[in-house]
Amino acid sequence: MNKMKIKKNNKLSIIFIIGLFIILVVIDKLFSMFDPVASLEVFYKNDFEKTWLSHQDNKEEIERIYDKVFFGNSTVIAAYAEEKSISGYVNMGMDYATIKDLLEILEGEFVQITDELVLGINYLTFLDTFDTNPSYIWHKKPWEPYLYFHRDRLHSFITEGIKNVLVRESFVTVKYTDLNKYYYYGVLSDKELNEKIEIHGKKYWSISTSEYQENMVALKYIIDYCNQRGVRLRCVWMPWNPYVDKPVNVLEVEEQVNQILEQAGIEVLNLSNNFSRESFHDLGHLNYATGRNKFMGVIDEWLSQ
Amino acid sequence: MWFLDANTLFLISAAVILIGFMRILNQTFQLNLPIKYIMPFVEVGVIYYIDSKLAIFYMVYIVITYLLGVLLYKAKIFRKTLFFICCVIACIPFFLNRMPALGIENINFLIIIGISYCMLKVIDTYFVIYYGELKIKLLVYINYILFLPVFTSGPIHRFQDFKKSLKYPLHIDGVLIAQSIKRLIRGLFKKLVMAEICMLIFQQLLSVESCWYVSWGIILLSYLILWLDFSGYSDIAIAFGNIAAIRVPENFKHPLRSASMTQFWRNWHVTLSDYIREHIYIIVAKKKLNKFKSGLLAFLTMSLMALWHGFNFNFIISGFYLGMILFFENIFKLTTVNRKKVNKVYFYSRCFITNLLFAINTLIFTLSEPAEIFKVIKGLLIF
Repeated sequence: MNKMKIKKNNKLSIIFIIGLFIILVVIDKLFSMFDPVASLEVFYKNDFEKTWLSHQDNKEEIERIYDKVFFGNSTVIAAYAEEKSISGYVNMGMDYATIKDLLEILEGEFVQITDELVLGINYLTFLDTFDTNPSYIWHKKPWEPYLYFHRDRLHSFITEGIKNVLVRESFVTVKYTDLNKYYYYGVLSDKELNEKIEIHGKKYWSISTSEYQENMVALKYIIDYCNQRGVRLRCVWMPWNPYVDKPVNVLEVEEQVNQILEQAGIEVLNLSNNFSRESFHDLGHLNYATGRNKFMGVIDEWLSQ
Repeated sequence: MWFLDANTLFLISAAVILIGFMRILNQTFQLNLPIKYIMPFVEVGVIYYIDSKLAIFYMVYIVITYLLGVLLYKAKIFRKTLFFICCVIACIPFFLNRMPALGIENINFLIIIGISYCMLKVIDTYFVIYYGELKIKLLVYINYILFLPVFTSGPIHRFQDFKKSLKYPLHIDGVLIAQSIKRLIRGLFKKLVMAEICMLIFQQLLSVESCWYVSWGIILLSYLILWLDFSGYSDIAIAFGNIAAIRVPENFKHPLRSASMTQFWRNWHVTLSDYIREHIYIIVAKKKLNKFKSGLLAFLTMSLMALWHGFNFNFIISGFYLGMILFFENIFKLTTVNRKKVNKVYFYSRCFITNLLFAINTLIFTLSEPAEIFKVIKGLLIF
């Protein structure tokens, strides 16, 4: 009798374990399918999600297929005014974006590009050790549950909600409806620029080209990807502030990238030396009032070709 | 606390599941996999992955402390002096880790996770060697020090208990795994959800103007936060221990049912208070003590326990406060209340007062600034 009871308990426990596992997997799949963090306005959006959401025609489904894409880091956000462009390129500028990010976006089919891709590049787009935004969806490992991957935003949503309730406000007081990315206003003074130069000098300008190789390999993969799918690929070297000369390692990176692009026969537009200091906010970001307009004057015709 | 870092939690889960799986294989197919030998590699591997310097430190620490243990076992003369020296050497990293609290700048590589607990385990091993005159096997010793579920924050295993559990591991079946998963979920829920929500309410109350009921609210929440946080952590450690088939001692045994502070410490953070009390008693209390000496001993226990938590003014005050309560309980013979021999009202009143006195002490852990603690205490007098 006792043995029978033990056996029954054991059986029930195994059912519990398997049942719990199935429930967790189903819940995770449902969350992943509906992706509330990316689609609901109550959560802060990263630049990639802003690109998604600002191009969705159908409210129910997020648009993932684009004809023409202008990809790059925050320098692309600052420079390319999609709303003023006649070229029809989607601004896929994202803070801290590298070429590896683009490869992951394409391989993971988070976005599909059908016709044309332009890469807005500078040396940081190729830096392997460059910081990244951990909330970008391609950083999610296959074994990471949805709620765990988005824990930072969920945590702040819940804690802020509880704080609101404690002061007798409604649970949600802030909605992130603004899908504009971060723009750069004004021109930094000499002192501020010198401080930036010092920081960049320490952080980036002494790194050897060996720290850029993974992104260069990723560039080759993207060239292959575009060739295989008949996507026209072009590159733009993004503007550099003439207030400071390009450091040696930046020039070396540019040279190596140019070699890859030349070998693959990729069309390149070099705008790195075309802008005066007044067009910049800092060292690489064009300012909203002047630089952005000047950039559009140059780039839009080229993009439309 | 390692279980708060998701990557570390994942790694520890993987490690204990691996060990548990090997045990199941041994149980089911009589494979005789050398789990005792595999465990140290898994443990060092996990620690190395988390922090390579930490793994190197512990390997060196284990070798040195083990060799000292061997020396202590073999010593024929000056055993007492050697025992004392061994204990002091085992404590050196702990004190180096606390240097900033003494106003001395810390050196980066001396930030040693888990040393407060590992030091106690090493000292317990020396007690076993010195008083029990037992030879310690290196393999058991390594497993004892590095056992991952309790590595950073306890509960504190005794060497003899761990050795026994390693030799006769728990039988893993569906019931044990299901219980462990439930306990793991409960622990994570307490620590990551409940404690967090209570902390938000606690912070909200701190910003409210002081008065007696606000202060009592803060004090009770402070108690609740500490219990949720620490018992949640212990639940996780015990659950992981069970999955690896190693029994981990309970750390909380219904502290609300404690009618005196003496009894309270047998129900709250049990493994630490038992550890300190018993190790001190072994040294100084072989003969029967009068109530004054018992009181002093209790005071010393509390002071040591508070200093173990941290070298700062708050903990000194905490040690003094709790020590004085225990001292007076001893002097006035209030140390134990037999539930069956007293009426319910008296028993529960004593429980209420004991827990209230302890709740005030928890402010040391939940509020870092003495001025904030003082503000809450002062608020009790504003009607």
